[in-house]
Amino acid sequence: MLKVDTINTYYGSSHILQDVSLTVNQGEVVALLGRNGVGKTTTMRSIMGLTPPRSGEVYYCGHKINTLPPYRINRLGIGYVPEDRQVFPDLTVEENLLVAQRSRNSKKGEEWTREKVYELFPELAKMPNRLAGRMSGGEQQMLTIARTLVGNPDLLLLDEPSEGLAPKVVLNLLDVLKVIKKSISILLAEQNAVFALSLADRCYIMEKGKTVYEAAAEEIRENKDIQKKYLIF
Amino acid sequence: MEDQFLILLNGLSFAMLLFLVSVGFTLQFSVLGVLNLAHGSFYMLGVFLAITVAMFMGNYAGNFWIGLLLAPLLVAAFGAFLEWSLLRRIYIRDVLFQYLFTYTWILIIDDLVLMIWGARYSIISLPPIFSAPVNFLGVTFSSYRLFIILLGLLVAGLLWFFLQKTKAGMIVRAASVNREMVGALGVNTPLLFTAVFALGAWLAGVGGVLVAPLQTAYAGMGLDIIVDCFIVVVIGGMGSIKGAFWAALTLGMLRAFGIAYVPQVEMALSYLLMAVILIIRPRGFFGREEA
Ligand SMILES: Nc1ncnc2c1ncn2[C@@H]1O[C@H](COP(=O)(O)OP(=O)(O)OP(=O)(O)O)[C@@H](O)[C@H]1O
Ligand SMILES: [Mg+2]
Repeated sequence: MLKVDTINTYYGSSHILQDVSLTVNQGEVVALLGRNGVGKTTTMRSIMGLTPPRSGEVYYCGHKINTLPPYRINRLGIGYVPEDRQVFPDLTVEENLLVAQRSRNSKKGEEWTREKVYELFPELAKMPNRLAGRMSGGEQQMLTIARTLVGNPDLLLLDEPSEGLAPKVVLNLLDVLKVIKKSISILLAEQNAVFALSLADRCYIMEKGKTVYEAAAEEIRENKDIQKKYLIF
Repeated sequence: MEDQFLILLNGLSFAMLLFLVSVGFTLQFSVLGVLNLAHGSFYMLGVFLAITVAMFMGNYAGNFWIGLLLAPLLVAAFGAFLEWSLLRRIYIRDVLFQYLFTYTWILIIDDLVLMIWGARYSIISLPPIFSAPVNFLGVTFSSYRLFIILLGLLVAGLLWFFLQKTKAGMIVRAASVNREMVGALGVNTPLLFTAVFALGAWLAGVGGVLVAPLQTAYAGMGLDIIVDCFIVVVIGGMGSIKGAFWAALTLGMLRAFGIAYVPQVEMALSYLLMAVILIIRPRGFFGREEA
């Protein structure tokens, strides 16, 4: 479904991603693990077209997308949930959803409407007219996910959704993502490996702009050496 | 008492003109992130196009209305073309390039106006239905200026409705805080930018046409109004539509009452107000707090 092929991405003149390759198959949850600053967010931004790679290719469902603008990439079916939430603070919950709402033909019958999203996030249903800027971090995290869902993506890029959330909220988030993953493939960037591994089918570990290890989630859950080596727990 | 009311009405009509022009300027800035220094030149184009329409139509009574319909549309089309062909290439550049670029267009448009319309100073006559003053709440007031006040309020109301109640308006508000995210959510941002720039230019054009019967037109009048736009935007808060409305009102009143009571220093008053605001509330009435 998604194939990232030896991409190199720069911020100005600093070379961040070095020959990163990865794939996400239909129906899969793939975790991108690694410590602070290894390039997880940059990988997401490269796929989304926000920081296009300078070399290498990205393919999505047969389309070459690494030269497309972000809005075209989104319309092909990739939804992006940024790491720092980036809700629209001056807009209400409902308005945040309206801005992102987009129906796609491939999804007829099983679309994420605002009603369905409110069912999944009952906290949001209680405050449709609250300004997003006035919500708690956990509520904002739910809203960014909800906002991306109503765009009806087939693949979700989720960047550190558990970051800065209280343990109880993280558990709640886990439940939500378990529902979402039934119908949407997910590429999940996380520092919190325990969280990521409880969702993922497959993992990549990144170090200094490179993917250095790839394995089934199960394997990493059981292999203490790998856990120690990459210090991801 | 009657005198004060008359001054107030005059101030209101000036405020509405100022609002129409500066709201376009602030809207463009909030969504595109570019301060369009040539915005005043779009206003000037509105004035001159209205003059041309009036000349074409001769004494036909409807010429003003046709100008009011056509000229802003032409200005908007020109704005859309400029954004689409050139301006969008410099969004990623340093703001200095952006200033340089939009400043260049002040010079180009001034020269274009000199080439096409010449250095003559011209003014068009008031549309016939406004030839007589009206009695408004006990004072005799220019019916044309009353029309400007009502039209300004109407446009303000429509803008409010568009921004608050329509999906396109919500997208505009969202883009004004986070362009990148709006694009990542599937909004065609290049098209959005062109549309917002065109809307800003259209508003400048409307302001220009409304001024055409009141003031003689001259190449360079764009620079004069852009200074006022700046004051409005600084006082009201960068990128704030609501701010532009209240700041334009404040400035309009200040000017009207200034001319009436302290004509010697009237010119300085608006700058003084801006300085005071910058000191006590640097982000203006409704500006966003710096993150
Ligand atoms: N806008 C930028 N300009 C320059 N360098 C940047 C920029 N953003 C990130 N970097 C650098 O790129 C590298 C990778 O950053 P990235 O945000 O992709 O890491 P990450 O794995 O997402 O980290 P985190 O877990 O902290 O989110 C870091 O060294 C960072 O300093
Ligand atoms: Mg990151």
